Amino acid sequence: MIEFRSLLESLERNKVAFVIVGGIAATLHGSARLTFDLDVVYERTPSNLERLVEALVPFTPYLRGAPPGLPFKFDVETLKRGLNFTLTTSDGPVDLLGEVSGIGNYAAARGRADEAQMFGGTYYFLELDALIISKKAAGRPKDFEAIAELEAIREERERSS
Amino acid sequence: MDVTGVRSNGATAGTTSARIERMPAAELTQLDPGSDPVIERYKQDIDRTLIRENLRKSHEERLLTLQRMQRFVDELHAAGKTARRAR
Repeated sequence: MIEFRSLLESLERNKVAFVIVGGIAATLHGSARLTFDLDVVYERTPSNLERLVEALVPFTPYLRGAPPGLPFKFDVETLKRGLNFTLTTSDGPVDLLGEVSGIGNYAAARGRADEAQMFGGTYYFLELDALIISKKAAGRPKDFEAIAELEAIREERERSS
Repeated sequence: MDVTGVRSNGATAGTTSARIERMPAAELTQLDPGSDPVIERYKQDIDRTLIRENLRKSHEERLLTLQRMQRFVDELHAAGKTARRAR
């Protein structure tokens, strides 16, 4: 099951400092491509890590692709020991990123974020040019089509403005 | 393209001046939105009617559309699995 809405609402309700990046940010910019995980860059302050744990624990996060039964505990200590976490949750896959390729950490991403009013809250997502830079910096061939589409979105926006 | 041209393209790509100054030219070339022939080739196959349709929607509508598509794909996967088991 994929329920990004409930995940996003929980992050927002718990006042987690995060910026939506990756495919969902592309969707928010108008991408028609299908994406199956929620990528966010999160602030690594102790208080934000606590809020992040509060927000996601109800969705029983677990390491994606790991065999079942590992002694994985999603808590502040675990988050402190790592940077990027690829998780599976009851409501869909979530990638928690301490840094975004080509952009940097949460503060850098927040400085280059657009704002969306939706589901009764305010959400921040990486602005289009920064998203293109991050995809290019990641340097993955699988992103070529996504980059092309994002550039096409930018051209369409310029054409209509 | 010389470094000055590349830096100007970096600016076009939306990169801040401070970052542009620190970046090596090779990295900046990657930021040039129009310089990559591979991306330009991919761009020819993008269905812009879908983009235009999405740009008319609100942010919330765009996410809900995605979620509906994801559910549809999930249902197809489940149906495929059931059909394979029945064989």
